[in-house]
Amino acid sequence: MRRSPRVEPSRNWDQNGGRRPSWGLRRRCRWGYEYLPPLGLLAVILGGWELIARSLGAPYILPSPSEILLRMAIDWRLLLRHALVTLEEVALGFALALLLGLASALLIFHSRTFQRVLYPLIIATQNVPVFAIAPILVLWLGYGIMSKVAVAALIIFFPVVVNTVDGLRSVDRDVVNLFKILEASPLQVLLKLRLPGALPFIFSGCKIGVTMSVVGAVIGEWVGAKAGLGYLMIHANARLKIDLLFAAILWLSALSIALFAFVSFLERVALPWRRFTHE
Amino acid sequence: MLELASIKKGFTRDGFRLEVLAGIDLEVRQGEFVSLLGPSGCGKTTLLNIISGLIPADSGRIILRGREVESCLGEVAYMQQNDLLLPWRTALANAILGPELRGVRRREAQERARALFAEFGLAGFEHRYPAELSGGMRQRIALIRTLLTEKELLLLDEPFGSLDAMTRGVLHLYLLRVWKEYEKTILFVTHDLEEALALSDRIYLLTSRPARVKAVLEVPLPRPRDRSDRQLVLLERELTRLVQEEIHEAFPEG
Repeated sequence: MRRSPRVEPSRNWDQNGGRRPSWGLRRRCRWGYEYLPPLGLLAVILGGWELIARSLGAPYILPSPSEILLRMAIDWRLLLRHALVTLEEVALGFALALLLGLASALLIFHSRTFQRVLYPLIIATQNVPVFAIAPILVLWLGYGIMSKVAVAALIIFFPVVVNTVDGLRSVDRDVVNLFKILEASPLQVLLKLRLPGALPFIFSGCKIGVTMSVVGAVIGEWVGAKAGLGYLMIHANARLKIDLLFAAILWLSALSIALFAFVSFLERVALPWRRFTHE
Repeated sequence: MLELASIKKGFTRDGFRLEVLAGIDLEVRQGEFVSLLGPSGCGKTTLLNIISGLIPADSGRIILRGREVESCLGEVAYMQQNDLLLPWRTALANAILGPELRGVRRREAQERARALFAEFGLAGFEHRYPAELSGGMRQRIALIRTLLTEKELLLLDEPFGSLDAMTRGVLHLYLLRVWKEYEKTILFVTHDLEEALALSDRIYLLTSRPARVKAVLEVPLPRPRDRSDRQLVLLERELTRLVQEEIHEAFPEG
Protein backbone atom coordinates (compact mmCIF):
# COMPACT_ATOMS: atom_id res chain seq x y z
CA MET A 1 0.00 0.00 0.00
CA ARG A 2 1.23 3.44 -0.89
CA ARG A 3 1.76 5.76 2.00
CA SER A 4 3.02 9.24 1.33
CA PRO A 5 5.25 10.87 3.95
CA ARG A 6 3.54 12.94 6.57
CA VAL A 7 5.55 16.00 5.62
CA GLU A 8 3.55 16.57 2.48
CA PRO A 9 0.15 17.42 3.96
CA SER A 10 1.88 19.38 6.68
CA ARG A 11 3.53 21.67 4.15
CA ASN A 12 0.25 21.99 2.37
CA TRP A 13 -1.45 22.92 5.60
CA ASP A 14 1.10 25.57 6.41
CA GLN A 15 0.44 27.27 3.12
CA ASN A 16 -3.30 27.19 3.57
CA GLY A 17 -3.68 27.78 7.26
CA GLY A 18 -0.61 29.73 8.28
CA ARG A 19 -1.95 29.72 11.83
CA ARG A 20 1.16 28.26 13.36
CA PRO A 21 2.87 30.83 15.58
CA SER A 22 5.93 32.29 13.94
CA TRP A 23 8.64 33.34 16.34
CA GLY A 24 9.73 36.18 14.11
CA LEU A 25 10.33 39.81 14.94
CA ARG A 26 6.68 40.78 14.74
CA ARG A 27 5.78 38.15 17.26
CA ARG A 28 8.41 39.34 19.71
CA CYS A 29 7.32 42.95 19.26
CA ARG A 30 3.76 41.97 20.00
CA TRP A 31 4.94 40.13 23.09
CA GLY A 32 6.56 43.33 24.32
CA TYR A 33 3.51 45.32 23.33
CA GLU A 34 1.27 43.05 25.34
CA TYR A 35 3.32 42.43 28.44
CA LEU A 36 5.47 45.55 28.92
CA PRO A 37 2.69 47.96 29.99
CA PRO A 38 1.30 45.78 32.81
CA LEU A 39 4.82 44.87 33.92
CA GLY A 40 5.75 48.55 33.92
CA LEU A 41 2.72 49.44 36.00
CA LEU A 42 3.55 46.64 38.43
CA ALA A 43 7.12 48.00 38.77
CA VAL A 44 5.78 51.47 39.53
CA ILE A 45 3.37 50.14 42.16
CA LEU A 46 6.05 48.00 43.83
CA GLY A 47 8.53 50.90 43.75
CA GLY A 48 6.00 53.25 45.35
CA TRP A 49 5.11 50.62 47.93
CA GLU A 50 8.79 50.13 48.77
CA LEU A 51 9.26 53.88 49.26
CA ILE A 52 6.15 54.33 51.41
CA ALA A 53 6.91 51.25 53.53
CA ARG A 54 10.47 52.41 54.16
CA SER A 55 9.44 55.95 55.10
CA LEU A 56 6.71 54.54 57.35
CA GLY A 57 9.17 52.26 59.10
CA ALA A 58 6.46 50.01 60.57
CA PRO A 59 6.92 46.48 59.13
CA TYR A 60 4.27 45.14 61.53
CA ILE A 61 1.71 47.21 59.59
CA LEU A 62 3.10 47.50 56.09
CA PRO A 63 6.21 45.52 55.20
CA SER A 64 8.08 46.57 52.08
CA PRO A 65 8.22 44.28 49.03
CA SER A 66 11.90 43.63 49.69
CA GLU A 67 11.15 42.55 53.26
CA ILE A 68 8.44 40.20 51.99
CA LEU A 69 10.83 38.65 49.47
CA LEU A 70 13.44 38.25 52.19
CA ARG A 71 10.88 36.53 54.41
CA MET A 72 9.95 34.19 51.55
CA ALA A 73 13.60 33.28 51.14
CA ILE A 74 14.19 32.72 54.86
CA ASP A 75 10.99 30.81 55.61
CA TRP A 76 10.66 28.92 52.31
CA ARG A 77 10.58 25.57 54.06
CA LEU A 78 7.77 26.67 56.35
CA LEU A 79 5.80 28.18 53.46
CA LEU A 80 6.32 25.13 51.28
CA ARG A 81 5.17 22.80 54.05
CA HIS A 82 1.93 24.71 54.55
CA ALA A 83 1.41 25.22 50.81
CA LEU A 84 1.63 21.45 50.30
CA VAL A 85 -1.12 20.95 52.89
CA THR A 86 -3.39 23.41 51.06
CA LEU A 87 -2.48 21.80 47.75
CA GLU A 88 -3.36 18.38 49.12
CA GLU A 89 -6.75 19.66 50.31
CA VAL A 90 -7.50 21.18 46.92
CA ALA A 91 -6.28 18.12 45.01
CA LEU A 92 -8.36 15.72 47.08
CA GLY A 93 -11.35 18.05 46.92
CA PHE A 94 -10.90 18.29 43.18
CA ALA A 95 -10.81 14.52 42.72
CA LEU A 96 -13.86 14.08 44.93
CA ALA A 97 -15.82 16.86 43.21
CA LEU A 98 -14.92 15.55 39.76
CA LEU A 99 -16.12 12.07 40.64
CA LEU A 100 -19.37 13.19 42.24
CA GLY A 101 -19.86 15.99 39.70
CA LEU A 102 -19.57 13.73 36.66
CA ALA A 103 -21.84 11.14 38.25
CA SER A 104 -24.46 13.76 39.14
CA ALA A 105 -24.26 15.30 35.69
CA LEU A 106 -24.85 11.91 34.07
CA LEU A 107 -27.84 11.28 36.34
CA ILE A 108 -29.26 14.72 35.62
CA PHE A 109 -28.73 14.29 31.90
CA HIS A 110 -30.23 10.82 31.62
CA SER A 111 -33.16 11.09 33.99
CA ARG A 112 -35.80 13.73 34.04
CA THR A 113 -36.59 12.83 37.64
CA PHE A 114 -33.04 13.48 38.75
CA GLN A 115 -33.02 16.69 36.78
CA ARG A 116 -36.07 17.87 38.68
CA VAL A 117 -34.89 16.62 42.08
CA LEU A 118 -31.15 17.13 42.00
CA TYR A 119 -30.59 20.22 39.88
CA PRO A 120 -32.51 22.70 42.08
CA LEU A 121 -30.77 21.32 45.18
CA ILE A 122 -27.35 21.70 43.62
CA ILE A 123 -28.15 25.27 42.64
CA ALA A 124 -29.51 25.94 46.13
CA THR A 125 -26.23 24.85 47.74
CA GLN A 126 -24.50 27.52 45.71
CA ASN A 127 -26.63 30.22 47.32
CA VAL A 128 -25.21 29.41 50.73
CA PRO A 129 -21.89 31.24 51.16
CA VAL A 130 -18.83 29.11 51.86
CA PHE A 131 -18.21 31.25 54.94
CA ALA A 132 -21.47 29.95 56.38
CA ILE A 133 -20.84 26.29 55.62
CA ALA A 134 -17.17 26.12 56.57
CA PRO A 135 -17.69 26.23 60.40
CA ILE A 136 -20.28 23.45 60.18
CA LEU A 137 -17.99 21.30 58.08
CA VAL A 138 -15.14 21.85 60.54
CA LEU A 139 -17.51 20.93 63.37
CA TRP A 140 -18.50 17.72 61.60
CA LEU A 141 -15.24 16.69 60.00
CA GLY A 142 -12.73 18.08 62.47
CA TYR A 143 -9.60 20.19 62.35
CA GLY A 144 -7.81 17.80 60.01
CA ILE A 145 -7.73 18.16 56.25
CA MET A 146 -11.07 16.44 55.58
CA SER A 147 -13.16 19.51 56.41
CA LYS A 148 -11.05 21.57 54.00
CA VAL A 149 -11.29 18.89 51.33
CA ALA A 150 -15.05 19.09 51.71
CA VAL A 151 -15.12 22.87 51.33
CA ALA A 152 -12.92 22.71 48.21
CA ALA A 153 -15.01 19.90 46.76
CA LEU A 154 -18.21 21.81 47.40
CA ILE A 155 -16.89 24.75 45.39
CA ILE A 156 -15.55 22.71 42.46
CA PHE A 157 -18.64 20.51 42.31
CA PHE A 158 -21.00 23.18 41.00
CA PRO A 159 -19.15 24.38 37.87
CA VAL A 160 -18.26 20.77 37.03
CA VAL A 161 -21.91 19.64 37.17
CA VAL A 162 -23.33 22.60 35.28
CA ASN A 163 -20.68 22.48 32.56
CA THR A 164 -20.87 18.72 32.16
CA VAL A 165 -24.65 18.78 31.79
CA ASP A 166 -24.36 21.56 29.20
CA GLY A 167 -21.61 19.61 27.44
CA LEU A 168 -23.64 16.41 27.29
CA ARG A 169 -26.51 18.40 25.82
CA SER A 170 -24.31 20.24 23.32
CA VAL A 171 -24.05 17.34 20.87
CA ASP A 172 -25.52 18.02 17.43
CA ARG A 173 -28.81 16.17 16.88
CA ASP A 174 -27.76 15.10 13.39
CA VAL A 175 -24.71 13.34 14.84
CA VAL A 176 -26.92 11.57 17.38
CA ASN A 177 -29.09 10.45 14.44
CA LEU A 178 -25.99 9.24 12.63
CA PHE A 179 -25.15 7.09 15.66
CA LYS A 180 -28.73 5.81 15.70
CA ILE A 181 -28.54 4.80 12.04
CA LEU A 182 -25.22 3.07 12.75
CA GLU A 183 -27.13 1.20 15.50
CA ALA A 184 -24.93 2.40 18.32
CA SER A 185 -25.90 1.21 21.80
CA PRO A 186 -26.78 3.86 24.43
CA LEU A 187 -23.44 3.15 26.12
CA GLN A 188 -21.60 3.72 22.85
CA VAL A 189 -23.45 6.99 22.31
CA LEU A 190 -22.35 8.06 25.77
CA LEU A 191 -18.71 6.95 25.56
CA LYS A 192 -17.96 7.70 21.94
CA LEU A 193 -20.13 10.77 21.38
CA ARG A 194 -21.51 12.56 24.42
CA LEU A 195 -18.55 12.36 26.78
CA PRO A 196 -15.89 13.31 24.20
CA GLY A 197 -18.19 16.13 23.09
CA ALA A 198 -18.59 17.29 26.69
CA LEU A 199 -14.86 17.23 27.50
CA PRO A 200 -14.14 20.84 26.51
CA PHE A 201 -17.02 21.92 28.76
CA ILE A 202 -15.80 19.74 31.61
CA PHE A 203 -12.36 21.29 31.38
CA SER A 204 -13.87 24.78 31.50
CA GLY A 205 -15.72 23.81 34.66
CA CYS A 206 -12.55 22.40 36.17
CA LYS A 207 -10.57 25.55 35.41
CA ILE A 208 -13.16 27.74 37.13
CA GLY A 209 -13.54 25.31 40.02
CA VAL A 210 -9.89 24.69 40.74
CA THR A 211 -9.10 28.38 40.96
CA MET A 212 -11.96 29.14 43.31
CA SER A 213 -11.36 26.06 45.41
CA VAL A 214 -8.05 27.44 46.70
CA VAL A 215 -10.01 30.29 48.28
CA GLY A 216 -12.43 27.72 49.70
CA ALA A 217 -9.68 25.66 51.28
CA VAL A 218 -8.17 28.78 52.86
CA ILE A 219 -11.52 29.81 54.32
CA GLY A 220 -11.79 26.33 55.79
CA GLU A 221 -8.35 26.73 57.29
CA TRP A 222 -9.27 30.08 58.84
CA VAL A 223 -12.18 28.49 60.63
CA GLY A 224 -10.08 25.78 62.15
CA ALA A 225 -6.98 23.93 61.06
CA LYS A 226 -3.61 22.63 62.15
CA ALA A 227 -1.76 23.47 58.96
CA GLY A 228 -2.08 25.08 55.55
CA LEU A 229 -1.50 28.51 54.06
CA GLY A 230 -4.72 29.86 55.58
CA TYR A 231 -3.68 28.58 58.98
CA LEU A 232 -0.26 30.20 58.48
CA MET A 233 -1.91 33.53 57.58
CA ILE A 234 -3.99 33.58 60.78
CA HIS A 235 -0.98 32.49 62.77
CA ALA A 236 1.29 35.18 61.26
CA ASN A 237 -1.37 37.85 61.61
CA ALA A 238 -1.80 37.13 65.31
CA ARG A 239 1.95 37.53 65.85
CA LEU A 240 2.14 40.69 63.73
CA LYS A 241 4.42 38.89 61.27
CA ILE A 242 2.86 40.80 58.43
CA ASP A 243 5.73 40.01 56.05
CA LEU A 244 5.00 36.32 56.53
CA LEU A 245 1.29 37.01 55.95
CA PHE A 246 2.09 38.66 52.64
CA ALA A 247 4.45 35.84 51.75
CA ALA A 248 1.64 33.35 52.35
CA ILE A 249 -0.69 35.40 50.13
CA LEU A 250 1.90 35.36 47.35
CA TRP A 251 2.25 31.60 47.66
CA LEU A 252 -1.51 31.29 47.59
CA SER A 253 -1.91 33.17 44.32
CA ALA A 254 1.04 31.27 42.86
CA LEU A 255 -0.72 28.05 43.84
CA SER A 256 -3.94 29.17 42.14
CA ILE A 257 -2.12 30.12 38.97
CA ALA A 258 -0.15 26.88 38.95
CA LEU A 259 -3.32 24.80 39.35
CA PHE A 260 -5.04 26.71 36.56
CA ALA A 261 -2.00 26.24 34.32
CA PHE A 262 -1.90 22.53 35.19
CA VAL A 263 -5.55 22.00 34.20
CA SER A 264 -4.98 24.03 31.02
CA PHE A 265 -2.00 21.82 30.25
CA LEU A 266 -4.08 18.67 30.75
CA GLU A 267 -6.73 20.19 28.51
CA ARG A 268 -4.24 20.76 25.70
CA VAL A 269 -2.95 17.20 26.02
CA ALA A 270 -6.43 15.67 26.16
CA LEU A 271 -7.90 17.78 23.36
CA PRO A 272 -5.15 18.12 20.75
CA TRP A 273 -7.72 18.87 18.03
CA ARG A 274 -8.82 22.06 19.76
CA ARG A 275 -5.80 24.00 18.56
CA PHE A 276 -7.11 23.72 15.02
CA THR A 277 -10.56 25.01 15.85
CA HIS A 278 -9.67 27.55 18.52
CA GLU A 279 -6.95 30.15 18.81
CA MET B 1 -34.74 -3.43 -3.40
CA LEU B 2 -36.82 -0.65 -1.87
CA GLU B 3 -40.40 0.26 -2.53
CA LEU B 4 -42.50 3.00 -0.97
CA ALA B 5 -46.28 2.99 -1.23
CA SER B 6 -48.33 6.12 -0.43
CA ILE B 7 -46.10 7.33 2.40
CA LYS B 8 -47.80 10.17 4.26
CA LYS B 9 -46.42 12.40 6.96
CA GLY B 10 -47.51 15.58 8.68
CA PHE B 11 -46.42 17.47 11.75
CA THR B 12 -48.55 19.20 14.32
CA ARG B 13 -46.97 22.05 16.22
CA ASP B 14 -48.85 24.48 18.45
CA GLY B 15 -52.14 23.17 17.10
CA PHE B 16 -51.08 23.97 13.57
CA ARG B 17 -51.08 21.05 11.12
CA LEU B 18 -48.39 20.93 8.46
CA GLU B 19 -48.74 18.27 5.76
CA VAL B 20 -45.29 17.42 4.44
CA LEU B 21 -45.68 14.24 2.43
CA ALA B 22 -49.01 13.67 0.64
CA GLY B 23 -48.54 10.05 -0.40
CA ILE B 24 -45.20 9.19 -1.98
CA ASP B 25 -44.77 6.15 -4.22
CA LEU B 26 -41.37 5.22 -5.49
CA GLU B 27 -39.20 2.28 -6.31
CA VAL B 28 -35.46 1.75 -6.21
CA ARG B 29 -34.29 -1.46 -7.85
CA GLN B 30 -31.12 -3.23 -6.88
CA GLY B 31 -28.04 -1.50 -8.25
CA GLU B 32 -29.95 1.56 -9.37
CA PHE B 33 -29.06 5.20 -8.89
CA VAL B 34 -32.31 7.03 -8.19
CA SER B 35 -32.65 10.74 -7.50
CA LEU B 36 -35.33 12.62 -5.63
CA LEU B 37 -35.50 16.08 -7.08
CA GLY B 38 -37.52 18.78 -5.39
CA PRO B 39 -37.47 22.33 -4.05
CA SER B 40 -35.88 23.06 -0.66
CA GLY B 41 -38.22 22.32 2.22
CA CYS B 42 -40.51 20.07 0.21
CA GLY B 43 -40.01 17.11 2.53
CA LYS B 44 -37.17 15.19 0.86
CA THR B 45 -35.24 14.95 4.10
CA THR B 46 -38.40 13.93 5.97
CA LEU B 47 -38.82 11.08 3.51
CA LEU B 48 -35.24 9.91 4.03
CA ASN B 49 -35.73 10.14 7.81
CA ILE B 50 -38.76 7.89 7.49
CA ILE B 51 -36.91 5.36 5.32
CA SER B 52 -33.91 5.28 7.64
CA GLY B 53 -36.15 4.84 10.69
CA LEU B 54 -35.46 8.11 12.48
CA ILE B 55 -39.15 9.08 12.42
CA PRO B 56 -42.28 7.01 11.70
CA ALA B 57 -44.59 7.64 8.76
CA ASP B 58 -48.25 8.47 9.46
CA SER B 59 -49.35 5.91 6.91
CA GLY B 60 -48.07 4.00 3.91
CA ARG B 61 -45.86 0.99 3.42
CA ILE B 62 -42.14 0.44 3.15
CA ILE B 63 -41.11 -2.72 1.35
CA LEU B 64 -37.47 -3.73 1.59
CA ARG B 65 -36.26 -6.69 -0.47
CA GLY B 66 -39.84 -7.88 -0.91
CA ARG B 67 -40.75 -7.74 2.80
CA GLU B 68 -42.83 -5.05 4.41
CA VAL B 69 -40.87 -3.38 7.19
CA GLU B 70 -41.42 -0.66 9.82
CA SER B 71 -38.32 1.10 8.56
CA CYS B 72 -34.92 0.29 7.11
CA LEU B 73 -33.09 0.92 10.37
CA GLY B 74 -29.87 -1.05 10.32
CA GLU B 75 -30.23 -1.77 6.61
CA VAL B 76 -29.17 1.53 5.13
CA ALA B 77 -26.30 4.00 5.26
CA TYR B 78 -27.13 7.70 5.45
CA MET B 79 -25.02 10.65 4.40
CA GLN B 80 -25.90 14.31 4.74
CA GLN B 81 -24.85 17.68 3.41
CA ASN B 82 -23.12 18.28 6.72
CA ASP B 83 -20.20 15.86 6.95
CA LEU B 84 -20.91 15.21 10.68
CA LEU B 85 -17.28 14.29 11.33
CA LEU B 86 -16.39 14.17 15.02
CA PRO B 87 -13.87 16.98 15.61
CA TRP B 88 -11.92 15.00 18.21
CA ARG B 89 -11.30 12.05 15.91
CA THR B 90 -8.70 11.94 13.18
CA ALA B 91 -9.79 11.38 9.59
CA LEU B 92 -9.11 7.65 9.82
CA ALA B 93 -10.85 7.26 13.19
CA ASN B 94 -13.89 9.08 11.77
CA ALA B 95 -13.98 6.83 8.72
CA ILE B 96 -14.10 3.61 10.77
CA LEU B 97 -16.92 4.76 13.04
CA GLY B 98 -19.41 2.28 11.55
CA PRO B 99 -17.25 -0.86 11.89
CA GLU B 100 -16.06 0.30 15.32
CA LEU B 101 -19.63 0.56 16.61
CA ARG B 102 -20.38 -2.87 15.15
CA GLY B 103 -17.45 -4.29 17.10
CA VAL B 104 -15.15 -5.02 14.14
CA ARG B 105 -11.49 -5.24 15.19
CA ARG B 106 -9.86 -1.84 14.89
CA ARG B 107 -6.83 -3.04 12.94
CA GLU B 108 -9.03 -4.74 10.39
CA ALA B 109 -11.27 -1.69 9.95
CA GLN B 110 -8.25 0.60 9.64
CA GLU B 111 -6.74 -1.57 6.93
CA ARG B 112 -9.90 -1.29 4.85
CA ALA B 113 -10.17 2.44 5.52
CA ARG B 114 -6.55 3.04 4.49
CA ALA B 115 -7.16 1.37 1.15
CA LEU B 116 -10.17 3.63 0.58
CA PHE B 117 -8.17 6.71 1.62
CA ALA B 118 -5.66 5.90 -1.10
CA GLU B 119 -8.43 5.33 -3.61
CA PHE B 120 -10.04 8.67 -2.72
CA GLY B 121 -6.81 10.65 -2.96
CA LEU B 122 -6.56 11.07 0.78
CA ALA B 123 -3.37 9.08 1.43
CA GLY B 124 -1.23 10.96 3.94
CA PHE B 125 -4.21 12.66 5.58
CA GLU B 126 -5.23 9.72 7.78
CA HIS B 127 -4.05 11.35 11.00
CA ARG B 128 -5.31 14.86 10.34
CA TYR B 129 -8.19 16.30 12.32
CA PRO B 130 -11.32 17.40 10.39
CA ALA B 131 -10.61 21.05 11.21
CA GLU B 132 -7.37 20.79 9.22
CA LEU B 133 -9.10 19.58 6.06
CA SER B 134 -11.01 21.24 3.24
CA GLY B 135 -14.76 20.79 2.74
CA GLY B 136 -14.19 18.46 -0.21
CA MET B 137 -11.81 16.27 1.77
CA ARG B 138 -14.17 16.13 4.73
CA GLN B 139 -17.04 15.09 2.49
CA ARG B 140 -14.85 12.38 0.93
CA ILE B 141 -14.12 11.08 4.44
CA ALA B 142 -17.86 11.10 5.18
CA LEU B 143 -18.34 9.10 1.97
CA ILE B 144 -15.72 6.57 3.10
CA ARG B 145 -17.47 6.34 6.47
CA THR B 146 -20.75 5.70 4.62
CA LEU B 147 -19.13 2.97 2.52
CA LEU B 148 -17.56 1.27 5.53
CA THR B 149 -21.00 0.74 7.06
CA GLU B 150 -21.17 -2.11 4.53
CA LYS B 151 -24.80 -1.42 3.72
CA GLU B 152 -26.00 -2.04 0.22
CA LEU B 153 -28.51 0.79 0.12
CA LEU B 154 -27.14 4.32 0.49
CA LEU B 155 -29.39 7.27 1.29
CA LEU B 156 -27.62 10.47 0.31
CA ASP B 157 -29.22 13.75 1.37
CA GLU B 158 -27.74 16.53 -0.76
CA PRO B 159 -24.30 15.23 0.16
CA PHE B 160 -22.44 17.76 -1.96
CA GLY B 161 -24.78 20.71 -1.39
CA SER B 162 -22.24 22.82 0.44
CA LEU B 163 -19.38 22.32 -2.02
CA ASP B 164 -18.31 24.51 -4.93
CA ALA B 165 -19.10 23.37 -8.46
CA MET B 166 -15.62 22.03 -9.25
CA THR B 167 -15.23 20.06 -6.03
CA ARG B 168 -18.73 18.72 -6.51
CA GLY B 169 -17.86 17.57 -10.04
CA VAL B 170 -14.88 15.63 -8.70
CA LEU B 171 -16.96 14.07 -5.95
CA HIS B 172 -19.61 13.03 -8.48
CA LEU B 173 -16.94 10.97 -10.22
CA TYR B 174 -15.86 9.42 -6.93
CA LEU B 175 -19.47 8.60 -6.10
CA LEU B 176 -20.13 7.00 -9.49
CA ARG B 177 -16.97 4.93 -9.13
CA VAL B 178 -18.02 3.76 -5.67
CA TRP B 179 -21.52 2.97 -6.89
CA LYS B 180 -20.17 0.79 -9.73
CA GLU B 181 -17.21 -0.78 -7.97
CA TYR B 182 -19.02 -1.73 -4.75
CA GLU B 183 -22.38 -2.46 -6.42
CA LYS B 184 -24.35 -0.09 -4.25
CA THR B 185 -27.95 1.00 -4.62
CA ILE B 186 -28.35 4.73 -4.19
CA LEU B 187 -31.26 6.99 -3.34
CA PHE B 188 -29.94 10.48 -3.88
CA VAL B 189 -31.75 13.61 -2.73
CA THR B 190 -30.98 16.89 -4.44
CA HIS B 191 -32.49 20.20 -5.46
CA ASP B 192 -29.99 20.53 -8.29
CA LEU B 193 -31.45 19.58 -11.65
CA GLU B 194 -28.08 19.16 -13.39
CA GLU B 195 -26.72 17.00 -10.59
CA ALA B 196 -29.72 14.70 -10.86
CA LEU B 197 -29.32 14.43 -14.64
CA ALA B 198 -25.60 13.77 -14.44
CA LEU B 199 -25.92 10.90 -11.96
CA SER B 200 -29.25 9.11 -12.02
CA ASP B 201 -30.87 6.19 -13.75
CA ARG B 202 -34.21 7.60 -12.78
CA ILE B 203 -35.41 10.91 -11.39
CA TYR B 204 -38.46 11.41 -9.21
CA LEU B 205 -39.54 15.04 -9.39
CA LEU B 206 -41.43 16.10 -6.30
CA THR B 207 -43.92 18.94 -5.96
CA SER B 208 -43.54 21.60 -3.32
CA ARG B 209 -45.08 20.91 0.09
CA PRO B 210 -47.11 18.80 0.63
CA ALA B 211 -44.95 16.66 -1.62
CA ARG B 212 -46.25 14.26 -4.24
CA VAL B 213 -44.41 12.65 -7.10
CA LYS B 214 -44.99 15.02 -10.02
CA ALA B 215 -43.09 13.09 -12.66
CA VAL B 216 -40.73 10.16 -13.13
CA LEU B 217 -37.96 10.54 -15.68
CA GLU B 218 -35.76 7.71 -16.96
CA VAL B 219 -32.22 8.69 -17.97
CA PRO B 220 -30.96 5.69 -19.96
CA LEU B 221 -27.54 7.15 -20.79
CA PRO B 222 -24.04 5.85 -20.05
CA ARG B 223 -21.83 7.62 -17.51
CA PRO B 224 -19.85 9.82 -17.23
CA ARG B 225 -22.31 11.94 -19.15
CA ASP B 226 -21.55 14.69 -21.56
CA ARG B 227 -23.70 17.72 -20.85
CA SER B 228 -23.92 18.56 -24.54
CA ASP B 229 -25.19 15.10 -25.43
CA ARG B 230 -28.34 15.53 -27.55
CA GLN B 231 -30.49 13.15 -25.54
CA LEU B 232 -29.38 14.69 -22.28
CA VAL B 233 -30.17 18.19 -23.53
CA LEU B 234 -33.65 17.03 -24.48
CA LEU B 235 -34.16 15.43 -21.08
CA GLU B 236 -32.92 18.58 -19.36
CA ARG B 237 -35.36 20.65 -21.39
CA GLU B 238 -38.20 18.34 -20.41
CA LEU B 239 -37.19 18.42 -16.76
CA THR B 240 -36.83 22.20 -16.80
CA ARG B 241 -40.30 22.50 -18.27
CA LEU B 242 -41.74 20.33 -15.50
CA VAL B 243 -39.93 22.37 -12.86
CA GLN B 244 -41.21 25.61 -14.41
CA GLU B 245 -44.72 24.20 -14.40
CA GLU B 246 -44.34 23.34 -10.72
CA ILE B 247 -43.12 26.85 -9.96
CA HIS B 248 -46.19 28.30 -11.66
CA GLU B 249 -48.46 26.04 -9.68
CA ALA B 250 -46.77 26.92 -6.41
CA PHE B 251 -46.97 30.65 -7.13
CA PRO B 252 -50.01 31.26 -9.35
CA GLU B 253 -49.83 34.64 -11.04
CA GLY B 254 -52.37 37.35 -10.46
